[in-house]
Amino acid sequence: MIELAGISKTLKGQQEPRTVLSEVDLNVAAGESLAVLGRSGSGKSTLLSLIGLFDRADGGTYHLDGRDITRLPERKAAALRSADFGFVFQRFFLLKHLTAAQNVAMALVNGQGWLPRRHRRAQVMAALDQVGIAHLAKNKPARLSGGEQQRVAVARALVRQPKVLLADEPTGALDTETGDLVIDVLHDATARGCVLILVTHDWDHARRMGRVLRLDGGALHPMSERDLAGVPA
Amino acid sequence: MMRLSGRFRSALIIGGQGIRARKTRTLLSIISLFLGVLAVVVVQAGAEAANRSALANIELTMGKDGTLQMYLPVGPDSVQAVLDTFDGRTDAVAVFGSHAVIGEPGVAPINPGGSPFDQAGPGGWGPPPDSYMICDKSGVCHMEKRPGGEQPPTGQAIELGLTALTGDVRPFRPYRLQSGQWLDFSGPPSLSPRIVVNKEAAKGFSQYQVPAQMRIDNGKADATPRIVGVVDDGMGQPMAYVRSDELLNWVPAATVANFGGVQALLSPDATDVARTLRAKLTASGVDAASIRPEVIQARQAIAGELALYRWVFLGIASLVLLVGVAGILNVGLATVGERVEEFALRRAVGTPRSLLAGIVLAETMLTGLFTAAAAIGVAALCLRVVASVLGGRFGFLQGMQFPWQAGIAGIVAGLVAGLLGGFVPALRAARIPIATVMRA
Repeated sequence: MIELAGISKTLKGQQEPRTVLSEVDLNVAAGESLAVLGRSGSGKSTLLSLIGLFDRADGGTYHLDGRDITRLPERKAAALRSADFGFVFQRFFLLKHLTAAQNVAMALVNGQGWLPRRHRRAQVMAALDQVGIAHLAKNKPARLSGGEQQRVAVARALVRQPKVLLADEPTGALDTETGDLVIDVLHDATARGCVLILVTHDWDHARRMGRVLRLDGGALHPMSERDLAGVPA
Repeated sequence: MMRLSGRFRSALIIGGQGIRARKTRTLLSIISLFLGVLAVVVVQAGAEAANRSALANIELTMGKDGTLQMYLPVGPDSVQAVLDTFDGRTDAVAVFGSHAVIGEPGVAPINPGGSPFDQAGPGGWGPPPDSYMICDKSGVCHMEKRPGGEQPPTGQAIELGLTALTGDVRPFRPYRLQSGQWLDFSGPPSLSPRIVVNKEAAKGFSQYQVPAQMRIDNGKADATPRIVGVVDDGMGQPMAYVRSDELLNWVPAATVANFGGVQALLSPDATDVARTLRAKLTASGVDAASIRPEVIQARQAIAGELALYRWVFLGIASLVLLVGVAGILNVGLATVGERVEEFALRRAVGTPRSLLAGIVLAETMLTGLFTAAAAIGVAALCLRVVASVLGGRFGFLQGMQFPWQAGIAGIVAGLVAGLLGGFVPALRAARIPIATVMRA
């Protein structure tokens, strides 16, 4: 499904250029769930942004479903993000002037084709139902709890039934119980063949993924059951 | 096609949501733009009103735009040919220029030469008191000394131009009825000629008490005229209008047009009349080359001058509009600055850069449209008030509808202002890096 080969990325800011990814190789199969652990600044989010086509790698190749998308033009990248990717961020990024349903519909009203209002509404309600908050569809974010807001964000990521779900510390702003609930919802998506790549600091959430990788020194290192077992819960 | 339509609809939906979410900012944009769009609407409406006024004024004397006009040679046979051709026609009128004095016989008129009353007296119009004007059959006039150099005493008489008409001339020269009624051409001619005088003649008749005795140039006897109405014909000198058949009861046809000749006015589609007239005149011995029809181009006559005024005022309005554009630009940039995360998020969910720019442009252009609607509404309301208050003083304002051209100009101005004001914010929105959401 996802094949990264020799991916490198150097961040060029106001300070010295810093190589955060160096010759990274990664293969993820359909339906697989993957956790990426690592210290702050280790390049986890950068890796996610490369996989999600937010950014381009300096070197290496990227294949999705066997198709080379390493140098995809922005217009096609946008279409691919819309069709094949879903994103969940640490901050929920809900638009406060829109209802929960309208926030979810944002992923459908994005200029990539057009759905009649009736079909759009049906898809939105199905996504909200999938995360268990269909009854809150008409509520604006200010009237939702943190967990509910993150579930709206998850529904937004799921509404187009993506092939790849990218979650960047989705439970970082939630309490443990609510965080577990959100991870449950994300994990359920893998049941229908969706790839889940979770960037997290939470070892418990990482353990629930099928595979755990640690990003360190710009390279990905697999973590075994034994490595994880040694980590306090 | 579907893709374009989807993007267009998406831009409108998201733009509409953005406007609803930021009502105060939208209102501020509308306020900053309002005066500029209003200025454009008012200039356009004013230009249309001025155009209408100028056209109405010039058409009084020149004739309606598009009318076919012919100056015809005067002669005994040709006048009869004209009268025969125009008899009973409503799409063509012949106008005979004559001359009359109404009032005491044998006296020098108050306004010699038919001058305006405030220019009457020594050094004014007309021949000196010891002379008189005489015209030959071809309409060429010259002065001759009175026999023995006698000078008639000044008396209560008014000299005026007398225009005889074969039919209603107002379709070609839209004289404005001031009081009374216009000539009725439907009944049989009266021996007491009914005349309609212009405002200057009416002024004379109201200032001076003159007996109802009309001496017509080359007249067989004096007639007793009846004034039935007053019109504004745009002329500064006193004039009277009379049915040609009523005048012909008193003047031989051959001399009915001894002062100003014969003019034919035809509607553009009355080509058969022109053809018949030309044939008859040629048969009566008139040189065909001397009959030259010309089309009255009243609009063209005023177009240049009005266009200059319009461009000058539109230039001023555009400057005001630019200030409004700067306002939209300012508000737009501030709004995009506030919405960096929203735009980055939209890009993350697959919204193309072009649509992000489209969303911002949709918001600013919708704002421009709302402003245009408000400006058009206010301008239309003001026009209605002005027309009702000043309509009596300025005739062209009477019944004046809000010109559609001003509405179009307002909408275009609003859209262009929205486009200009939203252009830079739209570019900025489209360039927001998608990774903003990752680093937030």
